[in-house]
Amino acid sequence: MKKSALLFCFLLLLLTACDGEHSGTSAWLKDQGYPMNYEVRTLLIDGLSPVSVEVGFDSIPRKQAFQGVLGNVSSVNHDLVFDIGFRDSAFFDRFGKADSAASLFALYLDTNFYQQTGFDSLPLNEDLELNFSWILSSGEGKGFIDSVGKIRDSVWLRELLSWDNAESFDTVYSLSIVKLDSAVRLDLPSALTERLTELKDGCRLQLRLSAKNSKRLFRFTGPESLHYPLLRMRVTDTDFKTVVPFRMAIVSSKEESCTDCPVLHGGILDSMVVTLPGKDILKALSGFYGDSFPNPAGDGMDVRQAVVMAQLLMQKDGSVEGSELGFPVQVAVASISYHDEKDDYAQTSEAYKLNPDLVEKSGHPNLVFWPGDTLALQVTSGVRSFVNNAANETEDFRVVLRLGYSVLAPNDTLYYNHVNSDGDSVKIFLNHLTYSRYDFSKSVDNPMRLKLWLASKRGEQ
Amino acid sequence: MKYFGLLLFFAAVSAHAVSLIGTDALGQGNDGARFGNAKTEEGLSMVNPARLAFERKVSFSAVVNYEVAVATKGDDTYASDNVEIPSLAFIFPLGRFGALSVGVWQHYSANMSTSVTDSSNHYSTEVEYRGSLFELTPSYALRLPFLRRVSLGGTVHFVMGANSRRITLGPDKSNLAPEDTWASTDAKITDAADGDWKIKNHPAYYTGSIQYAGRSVEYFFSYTTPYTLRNKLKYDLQFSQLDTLRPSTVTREIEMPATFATGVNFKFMKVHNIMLDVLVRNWDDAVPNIAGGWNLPDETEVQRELSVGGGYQRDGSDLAYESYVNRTSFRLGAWYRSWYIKDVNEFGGSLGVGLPLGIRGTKLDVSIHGGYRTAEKPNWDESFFGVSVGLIGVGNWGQPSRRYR
Repeated sequence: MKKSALLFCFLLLLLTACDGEHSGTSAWLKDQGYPMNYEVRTLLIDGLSPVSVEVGFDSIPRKQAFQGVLGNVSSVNHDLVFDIGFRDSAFFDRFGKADSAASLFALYLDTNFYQQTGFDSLPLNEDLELNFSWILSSGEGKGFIDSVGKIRDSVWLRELLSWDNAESFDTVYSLSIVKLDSAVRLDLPSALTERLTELKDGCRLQLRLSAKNSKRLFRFTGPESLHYPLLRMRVTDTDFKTVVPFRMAIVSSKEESCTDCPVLHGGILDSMVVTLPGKDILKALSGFYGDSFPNPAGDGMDVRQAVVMAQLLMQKDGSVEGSELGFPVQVAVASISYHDEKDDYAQTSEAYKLNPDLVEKSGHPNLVFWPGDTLALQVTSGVRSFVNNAANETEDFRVVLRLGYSVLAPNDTLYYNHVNSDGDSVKIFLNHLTYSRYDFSKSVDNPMRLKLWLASKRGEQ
Repeated sequence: MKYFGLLLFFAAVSAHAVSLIGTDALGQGNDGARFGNAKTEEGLSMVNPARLAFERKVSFSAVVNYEVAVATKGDDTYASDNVEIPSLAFIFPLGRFGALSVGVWQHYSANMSTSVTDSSNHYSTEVEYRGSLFELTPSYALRLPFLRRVSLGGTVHFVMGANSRRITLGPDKSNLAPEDTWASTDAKITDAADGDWKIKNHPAYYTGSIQYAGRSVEYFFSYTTPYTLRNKLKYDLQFSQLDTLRPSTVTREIEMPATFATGVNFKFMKVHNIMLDVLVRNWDDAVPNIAGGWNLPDETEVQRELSVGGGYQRDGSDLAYESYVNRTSFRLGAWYRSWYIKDVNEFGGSLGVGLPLGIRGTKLDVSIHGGYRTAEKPNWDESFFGVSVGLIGVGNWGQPSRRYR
């Protein structure tokens, strides 16, 4: 027993010794040659003129479940297309015999958007030049409807590009929207109603709405939202059929006169690839480190190749011209990441690190439609990949720019929705797309600068 | 009593597992050549598999080891501690057909984790090493049919294990303009290396030994083949676990020299033993380090490795009707060892008891050990203390093999 007690005491002493202060930890680490930190230094590479600037637009229609836009804004026209399929032989029998058969299509405004932005004060009055076009097909039995449902979205969206064999009708609607939650009722053209009365059992209607000369962009709710659009066919006031589209798409088309101009549009799949000369970047790094770069020797853990932060600085036009909603818009950046295989690239969205002092003073540096003459885009991941994988001087550095979301609180140093010290809710981003247009001519026609924060290796430098 | 020596062996070999010396090279070696390897019926020995031939019972053994090392230089001290299970073994005596054993043995280990944060000096560093070079060691030993006091034994060492090193550094922003400091806030960089162990161009290396077991004197000689260790390392610079640079691969090769070992055990007055062991390994080539870069040395310089250990043991009786104290074994020993790392020399001692549990031979072994290592820069002198707790489980199935002495 005594022996056990002694042993226990000894163990306790040992454990106590281990928990003691390691007064010599840093001295021991230094003696071994361990670094105590890494040194950060900055390098500004001036005079980077883009090798090329390419604007790309993916014109394939986008399926939208909750929100659709209709109209023309920022030199882009947006059509709405609805796919409707149903069968009801008894109803079609009555509808075909009805003297006063009529049909309408109802849409609801996206109240969440209008309330959040306060954009477009009510009432919305406009003589809207509207074009209806449709493709109607019919069939019989359950198999017909099933075959319609089995058409994949991707196939349907590509078919919309051609929009073959469509019938069309132009009209002008006097639109007057007084309340946001009331439906916009569009009476369907009689030609379409007449075609509907000829149906016997199953029907597939693809209905396209276009308002190329609208004064504004209308935002409507989609088929999966609470207030879905609907097709109503009327036999009498008490005998009618209501059908909800099972899918909806936006068909956007650019109407820019200059197709090669460095102009980006928000809300659509519009992007711009800026290519900067890689050899200029590598040359500057060689000068910075004092030897060839990238260094072919070493074991791959050369800290000189570690980019802590990279910022691409370009000139900008600080005006608000082209901003659809009047808010500043963030420029989203993705970088081309390099892989082992030649021509094997991946696009990586860049993270954004906040500079609180700057944001508080002059707002986020990556905003357009915002005062200031410099646009600062963080491209850390891209430069890291470029520097680490640039095996020779033939590679160039490429970034992809897009217009992102509207920023509602550009001077707030928190980057998430929160409640401020006054107890007010602060929303950082508008969670609806903005259909703005920004011309980057000033940015890409002038030399850019690349500012790097580099980790510098100790000891052997 | 029969297994007391086995415990002694484990207690001795596991006595060093937490040193701060040599983490970049192989870590600490656990060769177990200090004392007791010549004593028969004492279980498995990594340097003397021949003594296995004298085993009579199926048994299992496991050891848990806790150790503290305190490095000192002037007024500075730095302590580290660790708990590990360095060895597991099964022994299967086969009567006239000798004996088999299977073990897992931690030949080298390196464990270290420390961090320093000092905002006034812009210090922010975390260093972590985790490394184990394990060996799967099937052994076989056979007493010579025409000379029963002599046995031959061999062990095949299949090398396995992994090692890793992480150096995580915070930024030193002292050279940045005030308006530029934001960019490196919380920007830590981890210099990571991960690797595994293999033998170059061969599946294993081998130990062969010969044992003589007289009535009062036992001794052995053993030879272990040289081999080349391969440590394939993947280097990576990480900004976070998901944000890394393209890793590169480097293979370091470590030339392990041949090992010569010998030992003797002298028994007197039936229960008293005096033991002496010597192990020599001639290192020629420096050991390439995991690290490199920064100001860390690229390789670790080596010296001739020599272990000399001596000890005394009073065997406990295996007769169940004896008093508990008489059935308990006691031992003490001391050793000197020059490490494979240049200018590192170690002096140590141990004290242990083997406590019988039940009548079949199951035992609990408890030992304490401690000592001192002298070293030259960059290493610091170290004192170390440890406690080992081992369990020997004796199989209660089958018949003990007949004693053929």
